[in-house]
Amino acid sequence: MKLPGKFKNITETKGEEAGIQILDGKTMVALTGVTYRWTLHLANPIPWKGKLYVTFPITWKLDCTNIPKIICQRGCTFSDDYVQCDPASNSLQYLNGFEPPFGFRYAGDVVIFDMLGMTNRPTTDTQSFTVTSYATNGNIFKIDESVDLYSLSYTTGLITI
Amino acid sequence: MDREIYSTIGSYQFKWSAEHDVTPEYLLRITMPSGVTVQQKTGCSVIGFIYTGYKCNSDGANNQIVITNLVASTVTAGTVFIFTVDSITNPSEFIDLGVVKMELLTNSGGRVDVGDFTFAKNLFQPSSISSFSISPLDTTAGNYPVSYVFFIKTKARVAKGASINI
Repeated sequence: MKLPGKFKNITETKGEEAGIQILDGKTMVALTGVTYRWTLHLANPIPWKGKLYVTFPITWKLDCTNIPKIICQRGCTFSDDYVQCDPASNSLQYLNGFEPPFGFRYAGDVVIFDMLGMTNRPTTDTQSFTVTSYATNGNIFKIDESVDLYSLSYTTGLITI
Repeated sequence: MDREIYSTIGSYQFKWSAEHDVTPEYLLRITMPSGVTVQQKTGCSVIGFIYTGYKCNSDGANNQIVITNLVASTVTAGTVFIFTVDSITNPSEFIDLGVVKMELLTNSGGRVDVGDFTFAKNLFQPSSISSFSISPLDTTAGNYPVSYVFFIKTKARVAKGASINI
């Protein structure tokens, strides 16, 4: 095992490609109440009490007074009570997704979670996020980090002429 | 537009509304179809904007009109904008013109709203010849060869490359 690794896209998991998906076709700019689904393919295991950080683009300043709700769909146990929003790093830090006794995730496992109540950006500029997994053992150390898997682009609205 | 006559240079009126709020950071880019020519000017004139701080640039190379500083403060989605832009030349013949494309953009190039408009098929018409006369330079009966002078006065502008069919 070589750390830190990179989240990857495991092509055998058809229909569950790694990346971010906007649900219900709500891809238009500036839409509110949108759900973003995140699918992660782990390059390395995440041990018990591991953490997951999602860093937002510099141009998308997080509003830490209005943190999106989190719902785990597979391979995690996140809850809204254990989310930290860090303005300095512009990241959401999910602290309790991999708790004992069932929280250990193996390399190649798929983790899927939803962020609810998101607001699409006002323009079609591509938004690139960084996802990082961490292990904690007194100290915290990085396990996997995404490179370019997690980006979003939106569709335009209409001009009526 | 002022006159729907082939090759006439004139003003076009645009009436549009956007699905999202229009903020001062946005710019409006209008791309005309290739048959309708945008003159190259650094400051096209726009009539009908409430906000006078706008800047209009007509880009002949890309056949585009770009208007920045559209509004002084955010304008609510759905508000109807009406303005007239000069320095546009009508097509020189009847062709399938394609569409006028309108985009609301950010300075970074991100798009907010887009729309297009198709000209009515018979919108542009030929002009007419307002006077026409022919005079032979030699009126001798049976003479050959004789040159004739044609006087033609057109009502509208004649485009470069146009031909006369008599």
